[in-house]
Amino acid sequence: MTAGGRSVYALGTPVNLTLLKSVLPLVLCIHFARLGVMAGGATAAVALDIFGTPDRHRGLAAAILKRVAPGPGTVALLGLTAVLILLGVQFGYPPLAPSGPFWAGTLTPLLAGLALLSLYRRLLRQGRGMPLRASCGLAGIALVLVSSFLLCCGSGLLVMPEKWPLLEPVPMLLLSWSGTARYLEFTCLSFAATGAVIILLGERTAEPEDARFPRRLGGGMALLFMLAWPPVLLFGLFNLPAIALSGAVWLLAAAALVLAAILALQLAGALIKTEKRRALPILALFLALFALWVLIDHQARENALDEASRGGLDAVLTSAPASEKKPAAGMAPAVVEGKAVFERICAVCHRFEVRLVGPPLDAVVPKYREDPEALKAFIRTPVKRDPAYPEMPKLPLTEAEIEAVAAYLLEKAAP
Amino acid sequence: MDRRTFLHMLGLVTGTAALSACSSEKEQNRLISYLVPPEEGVIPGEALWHPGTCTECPAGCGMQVRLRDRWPVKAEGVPDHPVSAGGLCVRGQASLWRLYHPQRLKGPLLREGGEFRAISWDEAYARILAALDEARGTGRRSIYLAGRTTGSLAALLGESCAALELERLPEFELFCHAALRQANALLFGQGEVPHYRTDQADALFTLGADLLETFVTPVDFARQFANRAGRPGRRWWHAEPHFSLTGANADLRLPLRPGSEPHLLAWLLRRLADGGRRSLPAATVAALPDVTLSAAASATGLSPGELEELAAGLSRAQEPLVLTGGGATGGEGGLAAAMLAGLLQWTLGATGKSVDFTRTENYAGVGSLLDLERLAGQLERGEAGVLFVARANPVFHAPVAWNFAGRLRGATLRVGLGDFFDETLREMDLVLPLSHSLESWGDVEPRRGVRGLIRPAVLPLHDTRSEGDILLELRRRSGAAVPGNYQEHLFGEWRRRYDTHTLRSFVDRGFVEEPVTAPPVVLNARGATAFLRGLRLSPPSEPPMLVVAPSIRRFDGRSRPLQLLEDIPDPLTTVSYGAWVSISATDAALLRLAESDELRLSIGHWSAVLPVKVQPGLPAGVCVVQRDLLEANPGGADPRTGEALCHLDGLRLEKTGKRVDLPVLAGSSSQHGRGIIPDPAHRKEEYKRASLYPEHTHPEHRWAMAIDLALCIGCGACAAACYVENNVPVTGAKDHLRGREMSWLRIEPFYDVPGGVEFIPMLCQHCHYAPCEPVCPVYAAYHNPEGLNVQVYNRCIGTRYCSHNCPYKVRRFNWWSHRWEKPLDRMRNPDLSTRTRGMMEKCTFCIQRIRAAKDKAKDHGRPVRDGEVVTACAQSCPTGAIIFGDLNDSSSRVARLVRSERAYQVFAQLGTEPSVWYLMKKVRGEG
Amino acid sequence: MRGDKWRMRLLARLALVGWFGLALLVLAVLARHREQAPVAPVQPIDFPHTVHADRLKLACTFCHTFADRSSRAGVPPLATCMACHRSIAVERPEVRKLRGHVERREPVVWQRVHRLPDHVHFTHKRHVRAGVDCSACHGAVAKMERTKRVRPLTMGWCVTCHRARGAPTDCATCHR
Repeated sequence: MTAGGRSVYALGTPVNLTLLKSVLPLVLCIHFARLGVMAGGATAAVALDIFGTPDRHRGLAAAILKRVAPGPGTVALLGLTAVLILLGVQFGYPPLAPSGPFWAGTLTPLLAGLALLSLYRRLLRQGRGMPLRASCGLAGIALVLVSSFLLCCGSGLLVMPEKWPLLEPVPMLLLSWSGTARYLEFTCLSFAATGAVIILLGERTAEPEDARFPRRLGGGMALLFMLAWPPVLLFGLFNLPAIALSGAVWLLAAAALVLAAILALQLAGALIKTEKRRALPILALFLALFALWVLIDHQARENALDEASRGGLDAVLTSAPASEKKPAAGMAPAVVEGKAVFERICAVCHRFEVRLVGPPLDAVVPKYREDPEALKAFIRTPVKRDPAYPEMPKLPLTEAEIEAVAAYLLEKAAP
Repeated sequence: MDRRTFLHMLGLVTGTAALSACSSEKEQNRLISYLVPPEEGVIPGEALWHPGTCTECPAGCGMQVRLRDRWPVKAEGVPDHPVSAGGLCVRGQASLWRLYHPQRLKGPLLREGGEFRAISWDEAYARILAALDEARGTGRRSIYLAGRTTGSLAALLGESCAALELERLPEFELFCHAALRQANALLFGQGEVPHYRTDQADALFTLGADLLETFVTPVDFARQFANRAGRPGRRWWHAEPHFSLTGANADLRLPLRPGSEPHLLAWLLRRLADGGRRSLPAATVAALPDVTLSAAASATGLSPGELEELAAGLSRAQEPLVLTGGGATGGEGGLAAAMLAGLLQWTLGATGKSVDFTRTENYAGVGSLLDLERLAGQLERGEAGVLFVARANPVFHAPVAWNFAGRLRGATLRVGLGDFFDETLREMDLVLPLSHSLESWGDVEPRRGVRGLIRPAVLPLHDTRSEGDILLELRRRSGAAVPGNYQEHLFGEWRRRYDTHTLRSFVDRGFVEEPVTAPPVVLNARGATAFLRGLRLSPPSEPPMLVVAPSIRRFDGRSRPLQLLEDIPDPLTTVSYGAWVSISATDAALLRLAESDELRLSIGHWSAVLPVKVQPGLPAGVCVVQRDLLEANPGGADPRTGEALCHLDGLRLEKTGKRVDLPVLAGSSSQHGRGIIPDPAHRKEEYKRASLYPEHTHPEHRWAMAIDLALCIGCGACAAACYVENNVPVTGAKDHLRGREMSWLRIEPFYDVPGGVEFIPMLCQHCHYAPCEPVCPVYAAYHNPEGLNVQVYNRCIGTRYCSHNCPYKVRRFNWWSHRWEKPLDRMRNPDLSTRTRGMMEKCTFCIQRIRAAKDKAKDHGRPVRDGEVVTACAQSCPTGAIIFGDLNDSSSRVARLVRSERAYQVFAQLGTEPSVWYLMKKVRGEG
Repeated sequence: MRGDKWRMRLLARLALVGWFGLALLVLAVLARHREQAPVAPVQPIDFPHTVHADRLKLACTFCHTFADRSSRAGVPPLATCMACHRSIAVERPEVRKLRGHVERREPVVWQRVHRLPDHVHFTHKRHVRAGVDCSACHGAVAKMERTKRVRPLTMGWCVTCHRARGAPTDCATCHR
């Protein structure tokens, strides 16, 4: 678990780490918002396609898909953001470098899902092969969701550093309530945002008669998931470990709730009132909500992952029994014992080379080379010699220990 | 104060005191630092043992206490102790309750008007000295009456009484064995209670002496019983008017009419005098009362056959021993019985061997009720000045007819020294609280040449002093030059007595054995003859009569404040709380009494109303009340010896028609043929198992217990040890009446043998296929890899399915979160959780001790040794009937016992495969 | 008719606001509850492990002497502090506070950072002797200006490590 003597779990602090860490939430926000709207839209489209009447609803399904489903550009964007996220974690939080299986586990379903969804869009446009089309769509959605579930769980791991060393022997630890809550939050937000997109679609339709259904569908969907979101958010916060929590997390969560309330009121307005409503502000608010959600996560992650909590993760699976220490060959027994005494007591204040509390021993011990008795006498009853240092306390050492430690000092100190 | 004590106190006061005071959730977040590091060798969080001596009764057994963070949490016997050899009785186990009792006296009290008010020690001393001066001025004598006092305190008391011009009365002890001492003084010039070695006798005849309950040193006798039990050809007859635990454990119990003891002994002496080891002078034999076999039989109510068999058994034996005492010497004929028994011991060759006058039981300073009567006279005549009463309860023990409480008013100032408000202290003007023996220094000499240490294990909980300190302070304040405090006085005394090495070992081991020279024991034949010539045998008592029996739970009544002893049932009746009178089934039928019916008992002016408990095996016409359960002593004193009368004639019985709920813990007095204790012919039914589950495996250990029923005397020490070790709550009478007792270990008496009783300790059997485990919906009961049936308290939700499915009925449910009144909460063992409301609990095989032993073994890098894990019950058992160990280790003691042909499991036919094996008294097919 | 519609809309809006208001309330309660057991409680003396364990490189057992001998690691007695601080850094305000405690013979009441429930019987000794480094459960204390709890101390966390290391997972190991 250690590489080159440096702990795997130690925190490297290059200057650009801060930059990386501020870019990561942005990428996350883009990725999850876009992916969410796409997954939600695809779900709505597939549902309309399967359950709706061909003439009335398929058009809408196609329109939704046209807006949200992946064209080559989107696929490239989502693939890129996913890779960036993984790379960001790799470099921003090096201890949890995503393993090969994790890379494959998130990227493969994502890309396969996106491919299936674009295939579905083509099939729908051609209006062919209903069962094949539906299963293709459903599989695409499922794969995209699996990928985001894995990503969410991965980000859940980031607030639980204590699990890292155990991931290898117990891969099941990847799953957590925290990660699941995060995924559910993502789903709620995605479907709510999708609803907003559908309203937007309705606004753009020329005929007011046609606009009513999309608005109702979109508004209903958005409102429903908006209402489902607060409990899920609270569940997620409840499951956050204590170290990940801070005032900032609570404030961000409160802000997100307020924003969600405003959004819900807007959506309710869109649902109830028949007159036209500008949907773009709603979409903007959604984007802001996504951003807040990512920021809560980011804050929790930053809280949980400081140097202190990462410390000791190496030690979890490694044992260093105390009996390993063996006296160096060729040392007199008194010197060996003196070393032990020195490490137990003297080393609190003294080093050989540098000044700590007391003076560097290499500088002061050689004086006594001629007269070891004087050294012992000093250790027995220390007196203040150098005004630059505090007075050395009288230590509870036995005569044998004083003997031993003096022998060690004279042996070890520089000539 | 030396450095150690200083550090001791500092660490105590600052660190742990505050730390253990944490109780609420919020307080538990506090972490309080020590000011100075704990003493060397003390590791916070680890147990420390302090050896000392039990002071709950005069026997002086070795007792060590386990300290956790400086608070004693458990008492245990000291192994190798010359008196107790590692065992500790039920009262010793409960003695920690005395230390922590919420109602202990907490500071000096002065009576003003009818009320007591707290005063300072200074004021108390000043008042005593003033009263002493006044008494001296008016020519009244000031008197000091103490309970039995031995060791250095006895010497100090003598000096102090001389210095303060106090008359020191002979010490008061209800069970004073005065008849024995008088008889031995007359016969051998040794006015002592000898040390009896019953384990040396192959034929033992005990008359009245309740060896296993209160007689002189019961734990020692229990150990001797265990020593006897293993050897073949040993026989033990016990004759008594009632049914005691001692009688229940004898090979043959002879129910004899009280008062007929001299008849029986005189006949025995005549019968055995010829063939004895030592011959008696012809004159002495001639002076013996002429009791024929038929006369003896008619006096005692025993059949001639039984008497002949007893005599033949004694004369055949290599080492016969006749022992009398207790109830047999506590009557009108008490001195005669003791004299005749002494002569029998002499002629049978027991004197000097199994009746040891070298290491005699130390009753030198003890008087009798006669001395109390003398004191009552002095008080009546207004001769008494200041009266001190220390560690004694004469008001409770003096016969009611004496009106001792009223006569006490004759003293000018009455000063009581004690730890609880008992009958006597309530009559005092000034009450001085004494420190517990775990709070003070001291020593005792219960037996000549055996000195037990009393050593403080904890700082005094309250503003109390030791008696030695009080005496020294009184002397200092009266102007004498006394050296320091009692501790310094003691150490001076010990240094004078012992060399450094011995003193070291005394303090480390808790006792020291000093060499004692054997006194010459020669029969004073002339004195004996003269006594016999003057002897007129009085006729035995006529039924109905009252037998006032001593209590194994509360001795002469001094252990009454300890509630733990009420929670543990009386061994024979299994009554826990409350008072009762035992009557025979015949009498119950005659008087149309059912259990719990109230009965009025009256003798002369005395009367008491008690509920009835039918005691199987009790002879008709005998009613038994334990002395501690009566409000006062109904009888008088034997005018010759001063012993309290133990059986009273002229009893009138009257049914009141009321009923009192009596908590009787045994569900039934019979096994109903279920073979819980199989008779030797009981056949083991085979059980075939079919299971789809994988079998349990025990890769490392498989803990198991063997309980030898031949050794179990039913004393209940194991149950008490279990209570204290495992924080088992003491629930009270109300819960007991509802069947909600919490004891993890109970002793069941079964009266299926005609005229006898068999005991079986019943605890969780840790079944291999435990019926409790599969029914638990939350897996709180499960089988662990070491063969334990574990109850995970924090998982338990209290469905009680497990308890319903347990065939042994050993699981206990917490109906309440039981409160531990302060400072009793200090006694809780921190090594295991305290259960709260809604949890099921049961015996864990002392899992905390298993873990401690494994921990120690791991530190030393070796496997756990056999005998290293000792459960609390096994440790306390005075007879060593409980053996615990690892079944995986085929050479362990328990594994060997399990292979013995005496071994069986209770309800083996159910296929539960318990981990507790019982060893039946006799092998199948034998006898 | 129109009034009805208006009233219905108002009601719908109120319900929405109520729902989110409730969520905010729950959030506040949750925050208050969680902040009651802070991971880094304020201590009576601002003891910096960073100075002692990081800069001076003192071994943990130098002060927590009983960690390898007892179930409890032990908060050091003030005498241990004073062994050095009688002459070192005596004028620092926090050290003065310490000296004040010693002079008044008044123990320091630290706030417990790591607390296990009563039904858990944890022993430091066995873990230390098994070679588990202190930091495995306490994090890099040397890097903490104020000591904080960085591990969840939940049973799941304990058991996972026990499983991974092959340590016993019998319930009775910790619960009795």
